[in-house]
Amino acid sequence: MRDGIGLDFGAARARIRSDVHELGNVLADIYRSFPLEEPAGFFDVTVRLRRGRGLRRYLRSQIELVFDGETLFAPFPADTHLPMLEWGLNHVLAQRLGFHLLLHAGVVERDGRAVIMPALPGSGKSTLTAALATRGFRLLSDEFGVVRLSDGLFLPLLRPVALKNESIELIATFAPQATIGPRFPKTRKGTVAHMAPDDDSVARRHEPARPALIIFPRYDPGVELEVEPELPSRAFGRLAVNSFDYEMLGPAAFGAVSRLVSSCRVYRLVYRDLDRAVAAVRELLSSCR
Amino acid sequence: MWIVPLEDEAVVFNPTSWETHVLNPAASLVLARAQSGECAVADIEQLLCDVLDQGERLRAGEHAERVLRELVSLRLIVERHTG
Repeated sequence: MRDGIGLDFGAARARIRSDVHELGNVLADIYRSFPLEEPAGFFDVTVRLRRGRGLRRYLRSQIELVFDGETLFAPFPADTHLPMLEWGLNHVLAQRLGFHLLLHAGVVERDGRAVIMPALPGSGKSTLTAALATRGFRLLSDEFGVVRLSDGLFLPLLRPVALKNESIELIATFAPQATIGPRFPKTRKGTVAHMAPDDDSVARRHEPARPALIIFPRYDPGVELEVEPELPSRAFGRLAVNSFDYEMLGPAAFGAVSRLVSSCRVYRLVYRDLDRAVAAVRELLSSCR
Repeated sequence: MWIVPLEDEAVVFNPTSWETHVLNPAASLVLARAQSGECAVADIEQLLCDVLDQGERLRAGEHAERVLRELVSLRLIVERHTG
């Protein structure tokens, strides 16, 4: 891991270097379907996850993430290496891919049509994304909806789905065939585990998808299932709010979000049962062009 | 200025302020009218009168003034005093 490993996520490539020995095995498991890239090649980002220095190497050992020579975040406990790496990658990819419109959204695809699920953290976006990815939808991303400004297509930025707390066992039960990595308890977001993308999604990670359906998901244990059309103007606002770089891109982002809202069907979906939620998404998608 | 109609509402990007605004149906209608050229407050009042429910028509002047004031405050239109 000292020379690093290279990973190609589709819309971006990352080089990861680390002296945290345990990380190698975990990455091999979670990125199992990804071919390893030659680390001497070109990468959009290079991050280094390193063990703490001085006493912190040995006493309640910590790790830190370095990007462009600067340490990102306060150090994490050493046993949360993968969550720190994944959050760090989110952070640096959001900075480096500013030439695309980046939505905070899960994205899956079926029959050439993309389903975009923008949401704020804690809404159940990752759980629904993971559920769809295990029921015949191709996974493009759990975290970033990457809109190519030149043609409005969604580019995969394929990485593991970060599951938190109750959703870990929910997905493990819903899809026993899914590969879910080790549980990391006591992170800043509670217990975190990562679901590996399937082979087909990895093989097709350079294949863009045409947006067809936008769903604003929300998990609510008190609601069986609710599907309501969303007003286009309200959908516009929610997409802009869920974008990492809307303000920076200005008119280009305005044009991209306008085209998205005008060309897609848009719904709010409140769910508690994953089987019913997946069936609802399938039905909504079947009515899209 | 970029204006995109979304059903009876609209979204607007103002390149001067770099701001995006979501406009309700009345404001969308008024902005579209203002885009086609200079107009008087009375024209806007008439425009709203044509689309308001019967019960609201008497208040068209009040609605027109409020919408115009909001569009001016957002710097989407400018006010000119004549005479």
